[in-house]
Amino acid sequence: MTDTVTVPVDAPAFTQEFSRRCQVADCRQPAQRVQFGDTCLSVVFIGRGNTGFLTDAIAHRFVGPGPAELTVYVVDAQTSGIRPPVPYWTWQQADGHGMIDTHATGYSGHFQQDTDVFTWVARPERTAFLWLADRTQLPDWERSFPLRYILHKWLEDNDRYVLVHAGAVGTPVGGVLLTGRGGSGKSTSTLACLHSSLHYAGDDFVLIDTEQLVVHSLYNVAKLTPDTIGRFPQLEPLVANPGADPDQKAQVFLHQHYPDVVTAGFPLRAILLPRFTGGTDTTYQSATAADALRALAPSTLALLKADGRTFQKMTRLVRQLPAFWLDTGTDLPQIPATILALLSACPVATPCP
Amino acid sequence: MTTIPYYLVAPSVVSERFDDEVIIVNMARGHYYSLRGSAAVLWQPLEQGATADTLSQYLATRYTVEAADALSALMTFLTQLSGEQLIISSETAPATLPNVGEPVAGRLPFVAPVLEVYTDMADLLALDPIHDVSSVDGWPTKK
Repeated sequence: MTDTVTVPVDAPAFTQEFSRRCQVADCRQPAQRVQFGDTCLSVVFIGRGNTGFLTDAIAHRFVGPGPAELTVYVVDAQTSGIRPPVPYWTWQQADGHGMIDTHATGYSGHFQQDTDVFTWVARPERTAFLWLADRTQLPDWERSFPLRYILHKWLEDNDRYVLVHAGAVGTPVGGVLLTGRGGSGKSTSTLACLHSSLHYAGDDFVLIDTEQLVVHSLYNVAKLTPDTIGRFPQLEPLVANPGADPDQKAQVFLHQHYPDVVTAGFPLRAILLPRFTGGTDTTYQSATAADALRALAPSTLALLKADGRTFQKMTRLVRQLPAFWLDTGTDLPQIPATILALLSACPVATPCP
Repeated sequence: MTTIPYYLVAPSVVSERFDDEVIIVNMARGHYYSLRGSAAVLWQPLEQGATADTLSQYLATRYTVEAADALSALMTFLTQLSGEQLIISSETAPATLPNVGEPVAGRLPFVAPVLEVYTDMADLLALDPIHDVSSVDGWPTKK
């Protein structure tokens, strides 16, 4: 594909030129609408081949035709030949994490060097781009939480919504957020609920409405370490990436295998902080809001490269919900039973005005 | 008595005060922190900006310790905070100085302030600066 040589001078010009390249692409696939809470995205894949790498994790959030507040172009350079316009910034303006100082309000840019992925969010134009040098070379973990940076940036200035690094299980009338540092037992606790009356909204990133105290599912993928697979052998035949590198987690797209278990979301009643005791039984005990923030904030901020705005939203969340340590044991069926018992004892939280 | 420098919380730091604990996050360093007891008490005047003398008097109104006796532990704590880039020092007085107030009733026994440091977030913030940029289209090239 031949592009007119245009050197954008600023963020709007860069966005306009990138949009033009996407709109004239001859390998543009039909738009798919995805709904997360009140946020509806129109996702347009530009390239050839299977788009499952992008959509498997969010397939449970597809909705029919209609308006969208943000158009996301996902560009596979290898099959489309499309490259972004010449940057108007210098790379000295990118920090050590690839975050680009765009010098423009409403525009965010990030270049992930190890995966060759460029993300651009243009709020004024309600347009975002996820440019992949070669989607076939993406590490498996990239397909487990697609569009997370775009969603985060789109909602960053919105006081109501926040993406958090947590799992969530519950019933239509109420559920819990499960959060903690890596290895705390978040995924094990979430997956232990698969065969219970608790529904699954996610085990990695979820979207929280901090006004209504509702969790919205983002991704239906369960990510398992070898240890976790050992605890849930029934999931092993369902692993979507069986030949993955040893440093990559196995992935099971639960919507494909347990569609009735995966939910769009539910009201939140409590925040649970799992910690494995080494014993048999699972119990819970009160934790403080500070405990909850210490469990929730660091990994959320680090993974999203987020700032004080996201911190404040998480602070607001932990102040509104009771927190409990979930002391988990090896008898896995006790985990959902304990969560259900806790939910029945937990009053409905009253959202702050 | 020393009147300078004024110590105050670094602008890049985010924190939240709960009843008995302050949680602090320093994204630039990739660490997060917990302050309890006298350390949590000190965070409020540090958010406004205060000299070491003011801070030691602040402790003396809330704990059974003389300001002069608290100073050594306080300076150790301030050095820790500074080392973690959580506070900066300035010779310019802040707009509003903290009110030391009168000694509170039922002062607690003094325990030296402690900065609890958590470093596990740093693993998720590994630096990968952009380099090897193409001279043709201005984009980074694959390593």
